[in-house]
This record gives sequence, structure tokens and C-alpha cells, in this order.
Amino acid sequence: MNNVVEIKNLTHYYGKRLIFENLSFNIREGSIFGLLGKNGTGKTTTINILNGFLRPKSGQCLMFGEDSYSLSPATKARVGFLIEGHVQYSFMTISQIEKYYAAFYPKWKKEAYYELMSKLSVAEGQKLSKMSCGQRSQVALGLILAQDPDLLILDDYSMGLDAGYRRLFIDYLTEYAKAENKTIFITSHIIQDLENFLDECIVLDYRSVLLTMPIKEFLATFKQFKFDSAHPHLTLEKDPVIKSFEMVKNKVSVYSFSNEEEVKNNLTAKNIAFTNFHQEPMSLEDAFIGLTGKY
Amino acid sequence: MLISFVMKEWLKVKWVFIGLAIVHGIILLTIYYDLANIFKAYKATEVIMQLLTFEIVYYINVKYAALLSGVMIGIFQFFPEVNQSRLKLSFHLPVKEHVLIFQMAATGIALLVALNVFDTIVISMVTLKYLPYEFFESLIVTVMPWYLGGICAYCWVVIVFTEPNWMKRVVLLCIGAGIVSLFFVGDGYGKYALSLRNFATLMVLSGSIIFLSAYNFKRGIW
Repeated sequence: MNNVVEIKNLTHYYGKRLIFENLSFNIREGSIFGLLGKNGTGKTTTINILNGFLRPKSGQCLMFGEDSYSLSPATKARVGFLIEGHVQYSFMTISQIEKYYAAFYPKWKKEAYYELMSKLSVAEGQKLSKMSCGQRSQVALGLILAQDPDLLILDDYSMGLDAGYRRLFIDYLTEYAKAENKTIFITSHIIQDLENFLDECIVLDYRSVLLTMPIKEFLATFKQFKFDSAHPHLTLEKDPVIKSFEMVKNKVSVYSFSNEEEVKNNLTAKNIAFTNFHQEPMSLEDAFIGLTGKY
Repeated sequence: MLISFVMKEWLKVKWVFIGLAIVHGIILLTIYYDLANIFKAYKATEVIMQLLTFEIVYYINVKYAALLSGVMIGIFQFFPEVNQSRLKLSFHLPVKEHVLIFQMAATGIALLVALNVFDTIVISMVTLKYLPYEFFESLIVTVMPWYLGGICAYCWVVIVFTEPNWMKRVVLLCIGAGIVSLFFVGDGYGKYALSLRNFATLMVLSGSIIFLSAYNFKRGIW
């Protein structure tokens, strides 16, 4: 399967502040790829570089085989982009904005846009500035669907949306991506919404990559173990077995890609006594927090 | 594609343009009534002598209207684009970035030219009604530096807004203010006729800097 996006050894700084170093990943055609990470780990920076809005300090970023900083108009037409906060031309009405974008895209599907608009119960003459955040997000999504791009880049689609609109957004995207074999690159702060949506993810930490993996493999191999400890100020260093650790009173949680036996051996080797050791099931959000930590 | 783009720019600035057109209209009405009243109160020869002797340009307020229009259209066209990250929407369109910037700037300048043409037509009518033909002849060379200055002011507003670095913005603002002020110093009928080519060159140079600033904006030096 071809790679739609190829990022190789990308390094970027803002002034002297390193954002990430040697970031590398590929997005396969037809896959739904999630870029996850806490605030300030470089998600939007990555998307800005990918869209050619930012020149990285070093490294290469290819989209459909072209350098992302100098994309040809034909390649740009193949990419749909949702800006963080569903930014659009708020002074336009629903029909004006559709007509505006239609002029730029040869494969424009007007009906896809108006199908979504019909669900909002808004008049064609209504201005975007008079609509709710949720409604504006649907306008932005409708415009992307009408553009019929091969790659959709969605930067924090969930910003400002309530649970209903978030669900609507994901449901629509899931149906669309699978039916049309589209590639989606998505970021969001609401990790739980992405659990059944993503095929693959990359998890960014400050200045580094924590993980790049298919989501099913991540959920199957990353585990949370809990135990009770008599030691009131237990501390555990991260190592190849223990990826993360947290303690509330005497309840300890450790996160690991290793199995139960290996974790127990690791603790024993460190002279840590434990009781009531067991594995806890995790959602994607639990796993994300387990991997990145709460702070 | 071009029509669609121009329509979007028009929708964005139409209210400020209408507002400016009203301001221009009020200024032109004032010029007309002032001149009409002076000609009612004094002999025509006295008025003409006074205008020529003291180089009183009776349509001097058009100068400020041209400057105000350049600044306002520049602000209303580009501030929301930069402030709300909407320039990213434009840069994402399947069109070359320099073409987009050119189209945006060309739309803004076309609106300014429309106001300038409106002013010129009305002042010409007023001039031909009350004053000798020579006043009409000197009209274009008198107002042209102001019109070019208005467009130059517009260009510098765009340059300042599309510059991503705040320190550089302040420097550019000072440079722009200095350059634009050159277009508005001194009054008199046809006084800057010989400098029109220089003014035009300065305006074209200012216009070309827009592309450099937009390039910096895209590079994202922040």
C-alpha cells in the first residue's frame, strides 16, 4: 500500500525551544492515522509543516510524493484541511461559502455539503457568524466532504464541540472514510472519541516520540497493572519494562508493554513488595494517560 | 475562480467600503456647499485670486479621505485573515500563494481606485461648475499623489499585518509611516506634477514588498 504522507527526521524549533527532533512516520493510503499528545508537544506544528505553513528546521515532509512546503495546486486539491477551531469565513452564508469553494475544486460534490446542512435545520441564507460552534463544525466538515479530497487533515476537530456534535462528526467521517477509501490524519484532545475510529497512531511527548503503532496492537499490548504497596513513598524509575508509574495512597499503577510475569520479576528485582497484584482493563484514553502521564 | 475570490473579498469588506463611500460622499458634499457659499458671498474673481494666491486647495479633504480609505480597507481586509488564521484557508486553496496574495491586494486596490474615481468625477463637476478650466486641468496632478499615497498606505498596512514577527512589524510600521507621509506633504495645485513618476515607483515598490511579507508569513517565523 502506498504512503500518502512520509515524514522523515523532522526537527523543529521555535527560537531556541526544541519542539521535536527526528520525527518520522508514514501514513498509508486508506488509513485513519491519529496524532496524539498533550498540549505543546507539537501536534499543530506538525500539521502546519505538513500543510506547508511552516518550514521545518530540518528533515523532509512529503505529501503525495511532493515536498509539503511547495505543494502544487493539483496536490493541494487532493487535501482537505480542517483548521483547529473550525475556522471558516464567518461573514459568509451557508450558500455563499459553498459557491466560493466550489470554484476551486474540480471534483466538488455540492450534494455532500447540502446533505449535511439539511441535518442542521439552518437556512441557506444564514451567516456562519450566527451559528453555534457545533453547527460551524458541520459546515467546515461539509465543505471538506464536498471537496472530495483523498487526504483529510483534521486539526483538533473536537475543539468546542459537545458530545453530540463530536459523535456526529466521527460517525460521518467513519462512514465516509470507509466507503470512499479516504486517508485521514487527525488530532484531538478527546482521546476517547478516537478509540474505535483510528487504525494507527503516533503519540508525541515533549521533544520526542513515545510510540507509533496500530491502535489495536497498542490496546492489546499496553497494559495497566495495579497493586498495593506498604511503602508510603514508593518511587519507580522508567525502564524497558515499566513505562509509567503512579501512586495514590498505597494503590500503585504501573504501565507496561511486558506481561504480568515480567512486571512482577522487575518489581521483585527492585526489592518492591506488592500485594493484590492484578491487571486492569484500559480504554484508549487510559492507555494514553498511562503512556504520557497525568502531568 | 477569480470571480469567486473577488466576491469573497468584497463580502468581507463591503460594509467598510460602504462606510467609506458615505464618508467620501459627505466630504464631497461639504466641498460643494463650501464652494457654492463662497461664490454666493464673494465675487468670482476675488475667490479665484484668493485660491491661487494662497494656494488654497478647496478639495484638500480628499487627501485625508484617500489616506483613511487605504488604511481602513487594508485593516478590514487583512487583520481578520491574520488574526483568525484565515490566511491558512486561502493558502490551502489549489492556487499558487503569490497569485492569491496578488488577487487579494488587487481587490483592495481596485476598491480604493473606485473611491478615487468617484471623488475625481464629483470634484471635476464641482470645479467645472464654479471655476475656470485651468483648475480642472490641474486637478489630476494635484490629487494623484494623494491617491497613490492612499494605495501605498494600504500596501503598508498589508505588509505590517502579514509580517509574523512583532518586532519587525513595529519597524515596518515606522518605515511605512515615513514613506506614506511623503505623499501627503505640502499642498498646492499641481505642485508635485514632476514627482508623480517617483510617487508611482514608490507605490509599486511598496506593493511588491507585500509578496515578501506574505512569503515570511507562510514560512512561519514565529
